[in-house]
Amino acid sequence: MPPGYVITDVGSTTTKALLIGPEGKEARLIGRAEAPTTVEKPFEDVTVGVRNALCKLGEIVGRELVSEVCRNVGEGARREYRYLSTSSAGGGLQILVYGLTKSVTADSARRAALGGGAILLDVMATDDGRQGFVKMDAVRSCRPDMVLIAGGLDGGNTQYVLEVCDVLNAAKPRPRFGSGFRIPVIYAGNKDAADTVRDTLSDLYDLTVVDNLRPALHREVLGPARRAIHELFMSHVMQQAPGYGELITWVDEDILPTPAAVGCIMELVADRQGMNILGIDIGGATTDVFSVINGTFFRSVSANLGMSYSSGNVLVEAGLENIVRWLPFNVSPYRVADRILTKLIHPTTLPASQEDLQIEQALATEAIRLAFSQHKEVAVLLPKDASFTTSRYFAEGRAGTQDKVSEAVDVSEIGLFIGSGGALSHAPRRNQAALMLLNALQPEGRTFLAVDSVFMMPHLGVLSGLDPEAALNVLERDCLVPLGPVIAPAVVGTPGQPAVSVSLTAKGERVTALVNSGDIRVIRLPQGEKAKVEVEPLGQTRFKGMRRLEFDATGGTVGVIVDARGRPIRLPEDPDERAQTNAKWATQIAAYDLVGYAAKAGDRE
Amino acid sequence: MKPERLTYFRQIPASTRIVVSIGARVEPETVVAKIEALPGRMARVNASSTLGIERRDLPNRMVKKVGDHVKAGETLAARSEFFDRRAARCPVDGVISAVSKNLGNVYIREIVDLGESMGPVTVHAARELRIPPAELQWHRAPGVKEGALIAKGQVLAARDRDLPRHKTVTSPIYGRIREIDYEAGTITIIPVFPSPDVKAYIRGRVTAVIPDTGVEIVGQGVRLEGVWGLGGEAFGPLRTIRGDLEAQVQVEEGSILAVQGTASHEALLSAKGSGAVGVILGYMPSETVLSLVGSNANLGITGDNDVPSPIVVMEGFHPVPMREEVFSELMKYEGKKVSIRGVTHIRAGVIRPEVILHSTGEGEEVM
Repeated sequence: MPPGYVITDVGSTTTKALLIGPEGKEARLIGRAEAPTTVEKPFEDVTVGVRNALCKLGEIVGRELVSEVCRNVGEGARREYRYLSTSSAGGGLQILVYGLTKSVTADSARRAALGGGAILLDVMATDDGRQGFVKMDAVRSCRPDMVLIAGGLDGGNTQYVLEVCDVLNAAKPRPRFGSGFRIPVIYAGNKDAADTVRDTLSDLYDLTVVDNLRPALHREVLGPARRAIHELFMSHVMQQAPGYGELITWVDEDILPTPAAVGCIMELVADRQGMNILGIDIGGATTDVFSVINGTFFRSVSANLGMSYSSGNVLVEAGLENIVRWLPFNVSPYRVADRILTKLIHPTTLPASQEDLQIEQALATEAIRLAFSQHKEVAVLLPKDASFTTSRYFAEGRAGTQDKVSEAVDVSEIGLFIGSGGALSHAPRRNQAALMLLNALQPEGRTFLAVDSVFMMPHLGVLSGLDPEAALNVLERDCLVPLGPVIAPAVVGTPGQPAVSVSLTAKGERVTALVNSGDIRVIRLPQGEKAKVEVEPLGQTRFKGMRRLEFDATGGTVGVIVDARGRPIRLPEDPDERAQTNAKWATQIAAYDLVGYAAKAGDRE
Repeated sequence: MKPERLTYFRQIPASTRIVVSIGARVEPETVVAKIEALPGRMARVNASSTLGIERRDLPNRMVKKVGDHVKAGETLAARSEFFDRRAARCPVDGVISAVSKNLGNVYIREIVDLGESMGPVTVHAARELRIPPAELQWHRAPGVKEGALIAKGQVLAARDRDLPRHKTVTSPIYGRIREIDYEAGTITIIPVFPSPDVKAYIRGRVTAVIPDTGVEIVGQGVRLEGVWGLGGEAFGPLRTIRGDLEAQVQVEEGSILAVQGTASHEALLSAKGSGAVGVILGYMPSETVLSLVGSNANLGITGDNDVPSPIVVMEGFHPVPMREEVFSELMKYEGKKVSIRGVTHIRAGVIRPEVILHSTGEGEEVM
């Protein structure tokens, strides 16, 4: 019988508490409650918010949790529940990253910090084009929780990294929390410079020296730097944040930064399922993208892409035309911009009409598309060629390195896409979430879509370190909502011509559907039901690397989705025709009941 | 709407002289502090090499310490052994910001004046370098790109860099590059501080002076919060306009316009041309917003956009005129001095734009 776990995620605005306990022979979610986070004035103590959330949770599940959980775990008394927590309150773990070259060590340091669950305040490099005084002012004003320096490949020049240390000494950044507190600095650079770096920085900073995270151009070792980030987060940063000094005494395991916890559960799922997975969490201000590709975890944070506070940035970065192109009705682009900007100035409002909702979903589609594109830039594979040395790098320049670096993420090799965040998790119909993911990520081949019902992946991530089976069971049974398998050929023929023949055999019955190029078709397969799927490409249709597909599928809330629009999805130039096409797809996937369209096109089943 | 107590802290940048004292009565336009200089570029002197000493001996040879103000030519570190007297001298006027014991360097932050410019400065870089305008892209200095912060004296473009008779073009002000025009061969820079004067912004009394930090002013008035805005601060007599702002409006020099409806881009430019220093609008369609700030601006964080004058939007972007209750309140202040601020930050710690309707002052004591 698994024990009970009380888990909180102390977010910037809300503290979410879960109770996971035994139900029969397996661990299940017993209850969930939330309360405002109290890191800011007047409380300035996160434990107040934690107590409030636990008090509510206790009322919901009919158990006394506050006195059980909110006490020092070292006091000896046995507890009925084990208590775990994650945190992103007060803006999460904010790191300043400094590397030597933008495309080599600074890039690796960025990946280490992001993978460690950090928010990047700035990534500086000696070749980033900024003047020294601009960088120094930026260092001085950014108030980091921690600084990560990755300086040089092993055996390379040590002069530049000492210059970086000198700039840091001259700038003397102040920490965000605590006045007499020395900022932790992690040095993960050229091992030959470690002693002099120690000598230069130890007077002013709390310096930790770890293995070089980029010892050679073709080798990256992020583990030691990530572990140091986590240890310093617990021992220094958390101790300074309001109330965390007490919270740390309550927990049975280390508090994890929220994004690092999400990484833990993603890695566990990818490992157990033996597949590559990709998760998107679209928030109001930022969008996080996580992926596990061939066992390697990547994370990117698009700090300026979001659905409310950052909606204006999505408008600017994507361009108005790119947002309007996903709408199932023809409208003046400026009318759409008026609504997006209204959302910006009233970030907590919800769509009041179907048209508003469709505009929000078009905005979300573009935000996800841009965040995914930025993720692909972060998730890269290093040059495999060990002969690619520093001297060759400088001889061939940045372009030379870029040629050697390749994108790790290939949409045709992702087995599971997980969508999270209000726009996806709370879409009035799950089918709308499926359409947003299809349009934004454009998966290819055979994959599976799911959404997070209520964002509990951080909780399950911190639990996965202690009880992986319980974490996986709750993830599958209570957290993720399966939308369904997706079949999406990369190449299709002329629109309107048969593209694929899909046969489903379930409970001894066989259903065959013919799907035309340019169409989406949903074949019903209820959630949890198993079926054998056979896919026969017709005409010019091609799947990457496969002639035909045959696999066992499990149904989802949408069904088996056959997306025969080809890749990339092409939309008509003419606004009316484009709107009609979007309306057709929205109706085909049952995202909306666009009766007018249906009456006109006669395409509904 | 009842006047309330207003407390504003006027924060100042480094090297700024406060020119008011506690108890002083101030008007919005009263200068409370003057920016004299700013820390600028960093100069590096390899002092250990000049002195011929071990790098780690440098701290013992320093004659100046971190934080000291130094003049060009002054001695930073010295070695005075018999028959071997050497000195490492400072190349610029500035403040010592670090002494490196492992590299033997002394780092000096140059003190730059702001340069004399109240508005954008256009540098005719191609003409000065005697190159065709289109070639400016090959000759601009590293880091010189649109949006970059530039110190006064920093090299913007250079020709024949490696030759003894090379030519350079430098920035005349401390500012941010607004535009590099490869057709005209020019670089336009907007000053970071358009004026060296820090003004009171509200009518009131100085209640605290904190050296190197700022001045607290307490006043009394009605504060109206807008939903979104552009530009910085402005103050002047208020003129209210029912309906939309016409393109050919004639206004008193230095006035703030309160328009119940909206204004087109052309009307805003025309108002600026005829003397308006700020505009309060009922609404502003996104089409006007995008034409004013361009399609690359961060619309959630505004304040330093290059706009004709500060703008405060009271209702939003849909065509909804200013609420009658708010417009009537503004009409009560017709001809009286008001202050506006367009700065908007839509994020945690939100900052909304505002309109301050000052109490008349005489006979109304600050609470």
